[in-house]
Amino acid sequence: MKRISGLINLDHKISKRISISTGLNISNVNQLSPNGGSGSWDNPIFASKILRPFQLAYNDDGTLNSSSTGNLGYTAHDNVLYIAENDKHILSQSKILGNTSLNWNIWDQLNYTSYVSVDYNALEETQYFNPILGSGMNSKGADSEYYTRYFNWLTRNQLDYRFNIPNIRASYITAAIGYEAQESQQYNLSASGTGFPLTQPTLIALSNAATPTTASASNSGYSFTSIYSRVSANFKNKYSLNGSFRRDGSSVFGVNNRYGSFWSVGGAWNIDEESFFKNQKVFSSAKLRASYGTTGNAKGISNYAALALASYGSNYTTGNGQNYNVVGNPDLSWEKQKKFDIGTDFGLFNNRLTITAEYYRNNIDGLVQSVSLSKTTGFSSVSYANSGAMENRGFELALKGEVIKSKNFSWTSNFNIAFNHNEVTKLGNASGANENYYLDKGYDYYTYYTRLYAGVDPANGTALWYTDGTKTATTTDYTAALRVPYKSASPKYFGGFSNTFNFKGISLSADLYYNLGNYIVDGWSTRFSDGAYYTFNKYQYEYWNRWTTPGQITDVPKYIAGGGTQSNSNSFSSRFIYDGSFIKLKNLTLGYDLLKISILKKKLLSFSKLYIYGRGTNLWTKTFDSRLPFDPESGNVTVPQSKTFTLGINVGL
Amino acid sequence: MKKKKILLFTLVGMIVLTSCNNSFLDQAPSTSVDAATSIKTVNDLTDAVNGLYTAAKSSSLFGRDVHVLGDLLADNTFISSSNYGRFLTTNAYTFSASSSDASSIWSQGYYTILQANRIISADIPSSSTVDQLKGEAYTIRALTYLTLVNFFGAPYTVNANAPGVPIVTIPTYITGPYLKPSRNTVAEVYDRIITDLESAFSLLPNTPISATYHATSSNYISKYAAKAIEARAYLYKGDYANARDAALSVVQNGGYTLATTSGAFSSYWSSYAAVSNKLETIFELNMSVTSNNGGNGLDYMYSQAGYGDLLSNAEVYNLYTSTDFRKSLIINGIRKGNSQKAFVVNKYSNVSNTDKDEVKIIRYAEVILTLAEAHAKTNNEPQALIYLNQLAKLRDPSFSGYASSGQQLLNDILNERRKELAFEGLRLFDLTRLNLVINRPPQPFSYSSYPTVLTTDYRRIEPIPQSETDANPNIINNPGYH
Repeated sequence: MKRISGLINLDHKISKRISISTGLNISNVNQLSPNGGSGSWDNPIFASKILRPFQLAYNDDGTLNSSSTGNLGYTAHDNVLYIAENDKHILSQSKILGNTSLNWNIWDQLNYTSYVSVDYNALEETQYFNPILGSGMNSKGADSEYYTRYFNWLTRNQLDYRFNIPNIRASYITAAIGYEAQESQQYNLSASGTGFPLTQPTLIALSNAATPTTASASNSGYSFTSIYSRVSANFKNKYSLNGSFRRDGSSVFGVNNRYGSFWSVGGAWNIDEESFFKNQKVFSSAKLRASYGTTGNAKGISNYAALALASYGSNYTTGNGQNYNVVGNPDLSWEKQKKFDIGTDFGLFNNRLTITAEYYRNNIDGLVQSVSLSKTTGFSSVSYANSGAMENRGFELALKGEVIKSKNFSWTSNFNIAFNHNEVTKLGNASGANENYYLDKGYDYYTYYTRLYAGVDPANGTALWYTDGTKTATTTDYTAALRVPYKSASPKYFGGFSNTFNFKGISLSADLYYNLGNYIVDGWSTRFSDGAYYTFNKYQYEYWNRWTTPGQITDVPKYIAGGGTQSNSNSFSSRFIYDGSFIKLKNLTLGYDLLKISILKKKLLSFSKLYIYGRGTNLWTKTFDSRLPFDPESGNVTVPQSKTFTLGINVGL
Repeated sequence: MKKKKILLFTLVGMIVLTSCNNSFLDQAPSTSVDAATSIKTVNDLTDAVNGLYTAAKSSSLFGRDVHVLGDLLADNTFISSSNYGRFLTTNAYTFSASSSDASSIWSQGYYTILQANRIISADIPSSSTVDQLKGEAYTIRALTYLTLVNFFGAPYTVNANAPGVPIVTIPTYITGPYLKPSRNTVAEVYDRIITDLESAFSLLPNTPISATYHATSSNYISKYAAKAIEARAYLYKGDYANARDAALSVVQNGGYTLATTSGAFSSYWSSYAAVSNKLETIFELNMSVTSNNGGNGLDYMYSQAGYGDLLSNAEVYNLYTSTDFRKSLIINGIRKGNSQKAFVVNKYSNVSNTDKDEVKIIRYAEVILTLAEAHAKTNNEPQALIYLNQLAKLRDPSFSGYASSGQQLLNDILNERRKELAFEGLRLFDLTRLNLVINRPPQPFSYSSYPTVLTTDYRRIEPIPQSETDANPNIINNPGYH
């Protein structure tokens, strides 16, 4: 990957009252990556799991194995080494970000700011599949070229006013009112062809293709406006009160539901500024804050989600074809959140120990989610519908302390923890089974819905499931087992724990973070477990633990190539839902401040800082489920987080 | 000073209030139009009918899955042990409501029906072109319902009052998307199919309207294509009198012919182009250079230049005598993946070509066989033999002809049907409508097998997909499935 970027920022005062600032950031990234997504056979991570041990990457003469026949060849999957060398996926992304703002101090405490920013983003992508082995094999090579251009602009006009309350120190009221408009336009152009020269691997450009197969271009965009206002009052640095109101409009919603009004109020109390505070010795600082407000969410909704559409492009013979292919939702509107927040920060022992505690309660109404439909309507779901409500409430605690502070040795520690409880409070059109999840009032939104695995019959190695949630009877028929709500993907608590030790210039710091109580699913379990997909390699756990002799107690059923009567043994069930809790040592850094050495400090007077360090990242992970076959953070088929070691030096002049 | 301030305020106010324009939030897509008003003219109607054919030719429906299941669930084909992981549960008869290859037939089937509903209910003044286009839509809708009710419902001949599939005839922008219909009976679905085909037949003109809209290509539904599909529907229904009349109408008025020489026969099968001279094919779905199913095509499943997972059972190969033209459609060759001997299907040989083989939906030979069977079942064995032998002798010049009667004649007709229509997705329905045991002897180099499908086996009917029953509690699944 190659990256070039440049940045310039310019501030200029035009006159006593008017100043202008402008910035420009231009960059280009050029990268080469594997074709295909995580589940594609060209993905090296996926391939490293599915290829069987006897499929050789190289031939005896040292050349890459490009055979697609026989047991040693690549009949079902691809030799990723050959693909990596001969398929090309090139992406060149150019970005221009510019912004300008004009600030005009109209009079006294009244300021006007006009801000405009522009983002121009162009991606040029080539996907070339070679004619010998892989996805391009049967069309004698294939190439697709994509050009995607985004142009986003934003403009904001804002008036600010500050009123200083006379004769009272540190007391003022500020008010702001503004208008913001934003638009994003996307242009897509693509062309593909097949039939490439068999022995000219450098000629991958589309013009070399014998048969053009696709040419298409289209546009897409969204726009957004907002009128907003804010007021805040601050009194003697002790009390502050603020409020805001905004009215947002988005193009993605139905024509009658575009606008939403949102507001908030909040306050803070600096208790430590009060006169009575000085009369106690326990707390060194204390603040209290609370807020309540509504916000709206339009993120993640596709540009034309509200419209029921008939689209062109499904051409037949030489004629244009149109199909009613988007069910749309004219009632689609803002997802509204009502959030209540209260928190306190306080310090003890002269602020050597500071504690922050916060409680929040967030109610989301008109939850925008996909609602499953009867397929007899011609559609399988409404992609975006306001359906139901849920609540997130929780508590966060952060402690930071200088545990030991002496002349030569210090230890600071930082601990934080968050608890979140999620609950569906209202069902809309989506309810009950929602693919692998279960939606019902009182349940966590991410509760799984699954059949319960009951292990393996020791007498003959057949997989068993519980007939229902009471777990009183088992069956060998997967379809006779009822699905029940089971565990959830939401973590119970998570946070971090960092410690830094300093001894005479040597510093050691360790950052841990943890995520506990969530359950994760192995989405690829059907391929890597048991015999139904026998052209795929299996987990080691399978090899070691599969049932082989009568009387053996294990949870891996007898391996039957092709699946046989057991072809459902690897279907989704609680067998493949694992405890995803983990604790990770993210960073461990050992460093030394070279300026502590007095000789160096004298010689290098111009240096204000000279620090060398070694850092290890992702050194240690603790998981809590011995059956879990992959890193719970990165999943099964994506690039795992690697252990890295860095050596560095910080210089300050 | 005060004047200046007022001036400044108004200036600022103006700047702030510009672009407060409601239409700023109107964004329109560049490749789509509002669905409810998308068909306003005859041109729109033509485009919609083209879209309908494209929906039908998807690999999830007639473009592959329907045809694969029709032979794989029966006794004609099997999945090789060296395979790319498709149709394994169908091959082993271990499919369930949550994992079945037929679930995409259900969803794509109803998507196709939605497009047909939209065309049929389009409010455009009648003209001969509009009538032709609506006739095509009626036919495709009927064909889709016929396929759905035969996969997901019991055969009419076994239990006409069994639950069939929901009948939907109104487009979703009128009913709204939260409709949850229950299943109509098999008999009601057949009534709908026959009504639609009769409407189609009366709307479709004798000669297709001018070259601008649908010339005489086998890629489009013609008047007698509707009649031929009606013959199939009556045959599956067990209504032999009506089947006979429909088939006879096609034979007498359709203008279709059979290949008379082995040269004509093999060039017919090796051609990837549509037919415009009414030779053999009545209706087939177009697969062109720019619009085909690629790796998901039916041809890809059969040809060793594609995946080649789907191989012919040895018994099928042995049905043909050495002088039968149709023997050339199965090659006694090698399975590419494991280099073992296998019977490779050669009906779809243009995989490596840029223009692909059309997917044949109904051929004239089927109509002749339907006519023969209908005659035999309505006490007219002499006529039955005439039509049966017409086909059999054309396919095998050294064959002297059938002379059987009674049950033996019916067996001969069924056998000839199997020989003629193998690998075209129709064998399963012949076995289920006649309520016969399906015998699927284990084949070499195939891991899974399910050798006998008794008439009481619940897996003779596909499960309604779990995603449907989850979203639609008004649908009760077929017995044996949860």
